[in-house]
Amino acid sequence: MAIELISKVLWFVVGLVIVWLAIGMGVGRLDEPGAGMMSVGFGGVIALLGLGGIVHLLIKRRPVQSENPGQPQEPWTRAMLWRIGGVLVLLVVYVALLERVGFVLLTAALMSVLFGAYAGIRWVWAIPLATGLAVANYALFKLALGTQLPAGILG
Amino acid sequence: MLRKLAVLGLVAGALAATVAVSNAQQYPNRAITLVIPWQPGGVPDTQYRVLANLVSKDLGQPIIVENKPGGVGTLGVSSMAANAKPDGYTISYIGSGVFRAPFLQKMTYDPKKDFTYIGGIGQYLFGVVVRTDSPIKTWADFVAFAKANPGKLTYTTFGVNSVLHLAMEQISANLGIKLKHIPSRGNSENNAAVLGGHVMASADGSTWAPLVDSGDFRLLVTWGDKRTSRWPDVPTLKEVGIDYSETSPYGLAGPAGMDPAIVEKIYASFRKALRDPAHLELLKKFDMEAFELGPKEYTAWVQKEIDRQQQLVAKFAEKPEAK
Amino acid sequence: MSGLLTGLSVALQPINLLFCFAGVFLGTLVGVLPGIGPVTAMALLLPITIGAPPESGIILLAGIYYGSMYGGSTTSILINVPGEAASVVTCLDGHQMARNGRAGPALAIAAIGSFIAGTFAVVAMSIVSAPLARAALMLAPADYVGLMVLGLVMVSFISSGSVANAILTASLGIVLGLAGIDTMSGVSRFTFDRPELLEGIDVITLVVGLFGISEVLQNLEHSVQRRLVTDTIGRVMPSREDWRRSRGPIARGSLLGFLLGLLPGGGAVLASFASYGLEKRWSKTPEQFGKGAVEGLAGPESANNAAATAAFIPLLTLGIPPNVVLGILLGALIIQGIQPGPLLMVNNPGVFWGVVASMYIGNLMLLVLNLPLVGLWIQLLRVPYGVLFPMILVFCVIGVYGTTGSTFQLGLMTAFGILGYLLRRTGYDLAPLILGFVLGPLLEANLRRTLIASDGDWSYLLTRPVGLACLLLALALIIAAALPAIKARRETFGPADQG
Repeated sequence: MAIELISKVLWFVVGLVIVWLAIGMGVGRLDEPGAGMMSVGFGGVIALLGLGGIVHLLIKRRPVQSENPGQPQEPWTRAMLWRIGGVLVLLVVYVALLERVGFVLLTAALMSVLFGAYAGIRWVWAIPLATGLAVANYALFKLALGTQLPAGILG
Repeated sequence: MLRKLAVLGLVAGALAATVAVSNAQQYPNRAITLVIPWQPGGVPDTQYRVLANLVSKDLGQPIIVENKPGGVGTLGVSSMAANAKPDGYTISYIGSGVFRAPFLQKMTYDPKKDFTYIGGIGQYLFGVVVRTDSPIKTWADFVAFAKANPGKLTYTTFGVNSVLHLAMEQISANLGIKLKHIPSRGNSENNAAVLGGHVMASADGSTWAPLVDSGDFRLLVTWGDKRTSRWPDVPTLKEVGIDYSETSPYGLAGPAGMDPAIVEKIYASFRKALRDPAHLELLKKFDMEAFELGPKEYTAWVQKEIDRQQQLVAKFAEKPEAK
Repeated sequence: MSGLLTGLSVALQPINLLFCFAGVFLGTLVGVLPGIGPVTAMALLLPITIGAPPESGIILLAGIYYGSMYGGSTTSILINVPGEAASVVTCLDGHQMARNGRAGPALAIAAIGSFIAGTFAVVAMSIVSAPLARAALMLAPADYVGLMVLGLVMVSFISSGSVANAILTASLGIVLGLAGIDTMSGVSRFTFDRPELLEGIDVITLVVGLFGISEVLQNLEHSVQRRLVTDTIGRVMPSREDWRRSRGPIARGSLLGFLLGLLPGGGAVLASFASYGLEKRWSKTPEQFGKGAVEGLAGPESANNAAATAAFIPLLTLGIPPNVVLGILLGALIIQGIQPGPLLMVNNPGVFWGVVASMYIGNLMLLVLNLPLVGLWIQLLRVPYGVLFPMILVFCVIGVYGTTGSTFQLGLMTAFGILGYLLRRTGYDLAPLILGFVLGPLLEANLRRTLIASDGDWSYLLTRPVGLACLLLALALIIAAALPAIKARRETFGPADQG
């Protein structure tokens, strides 16, 4: 219920922001649509459906499940959020450092941490496995297929 | 004391000069990165890869081609200028979009200050085509039709404020005619729209070539300085009385502050590559011409070109409505 | 027919057989590896083909393209990461089949459906290509408006979850698709002065983030020391029952895909979504869709392969590439000194028919290559998820960085990953978002083109037969959805979980 309501409120806000930004692009006339017209229209649809959802939820007080009976989601637990948040933080750090440090080193580091901390592989195995996979990926993609990957400090 | 200082200065200057010269002599002693601000596979990408191969053999160092698309060909160039050292080991394709974009959008670079211009590479062949069964048989017919039906003659290009759109507006202004522009999202859509009869004419690069040869399209006019060898009967703009040509030349640039000796060395090698039979054959296939212009001449040309783009935008561009 | 014989004599030369095999093999490989797609692979191999005879080079590049269509379904089914927009639909039921322990039959049906559809499209191509391509050109912008509207309406029917939710995500997709410089007015939309966004949001970044990253995040809700699929994978060969249920969808998907594939723009994407919608409407048990219905896999897989092959027709007969991949092929042809277009069949019969014939052979090779190797891909699933998911993350990074060379795009990918996870978590289907993203800009461009041409007269939209028919059909679907009886029925079976 709470999550459902929050999501509808977010949709409503997103819709309004889109409409506001799109009006700034020039809406034009109906016979000569401007750059913002479609976005105003669909932003408006998002805002209205969000608003409708809020009203619907507040009046009918339907539980979440009736909206989505297929797969009852288990509620977020602290452990779950730690796992997901941890990977996201690692990914953001990885992306930020990729061009400076280079693909092979950074990928080996990322995978070592993930193998060690998440998969519960002993560090003695996790680090060589991660390094091997990073080098193998580099060899396959950059050297064999010619994909561009940053070399970083090793280059 | 003063004399001593002067001598010291001279020595220091001479030393700096030798270091610079020896830098240029040693150059290149490692791989050079060539940035292409487009997705892999296009015409400029293909051409630059062929040139890179030839130059790499000549200079004895590998050239790594990096595709950094985005920002309509400006992103790769501007981030190269902002991040790379001006040591000659990072250079980039640079095209007219880079000179034009700052007058259309807020950009993070200044084309007059932020680059070292190395030299010219190539230019496009543009032209106007109509469908063969169109009542418009010649460029004179085109102008006559536009004069008789102001705002009714429709034409397509691959986007508002593209070089082709601005050039068509310039031509219209010269002739005092008014055309209706229906922009598409790419070259192939242009041909499809004309072939399907949804627009009357297309101003485009030579992607229309096969359809002209097959007799589906009629080529009315080309925009270069002289006639093409492939369609020698088709006049240029100048021949039909319009004092204008547009080939959207492109070249090479590096970050601001490169050593002139290294710039000379890079372009000398590219100049050789431009004249290489392998490159000439490629140009012929795309009906294009080289744009050979040394560092000094190219830099001067670019400064003028930036002003010209500014004027084109000021006069003819569709300006984003003020926020 | 004599043309085809000429073609076979070209395609059966040992060198061309070798190139064809290399092409389909590489294609399968890049299709299987998430992120790196046919565009990158073809562009990188382009220089290599310059030295080869023209027909051999083109055979190789074409093989990569249709080979990747086979391979693309594999990652969609096994790890729910579509390699490109057209295989998003494959995830819906294909991945559910894998979750139900039927990964083997899912992969086999996908491969066989692709084979039948691909072969059908090649045969159709060698019979009717030129007139068909001409007919497709006659579709005016107004007709496209109808087609796009129909596609967008259809998506609210095929998605799991409520119709309102589908409209929300589709609308968001459309708005995201409109980002970048407006080609009609030069206005920058939703770019926030970032040059990276001037050309709009990259479709690879969006798809990899929304599906690849968010899938990883969702799987991390559970302990990672388990395996994706337990050891009982089941047999690889589909059962007799699977066959019976797949026959119709494969046939319908092949035809639909072939026709829609001729259209420029979102042809293959539209085809796979349309086929899914068609099968769901056609089915007597639509409640199984989204939960691992074999029809929902067989139809779209066939449709996108037929569409991929049909897309060659406008390129080879008119010189008009309907998508980016074929645009690269056009470049390759020109470098070889061959101008694709109406004269190709006359001037270079060896090239035209050689490529067509190689596609017959290539499809056969792909079947042989894929079916026995299916078992190999299944081995992937036996790897514990804790080992698998770091690899998936790295593949996502390689795919996005490899095509854009930009860490900004990687950041965007991460953001879309979070968005996708939150949407799935709260009961929204992501498929409408992708279709909205692909079709939204096309709808807008064609609508505005129509209005420019008709001087702002909206009624012009109703004067084109194809466009009108599509609009009427879309209207009928909306009315059907609005009818209470049908609505009630929908609610009992409609919403399903999302994968």
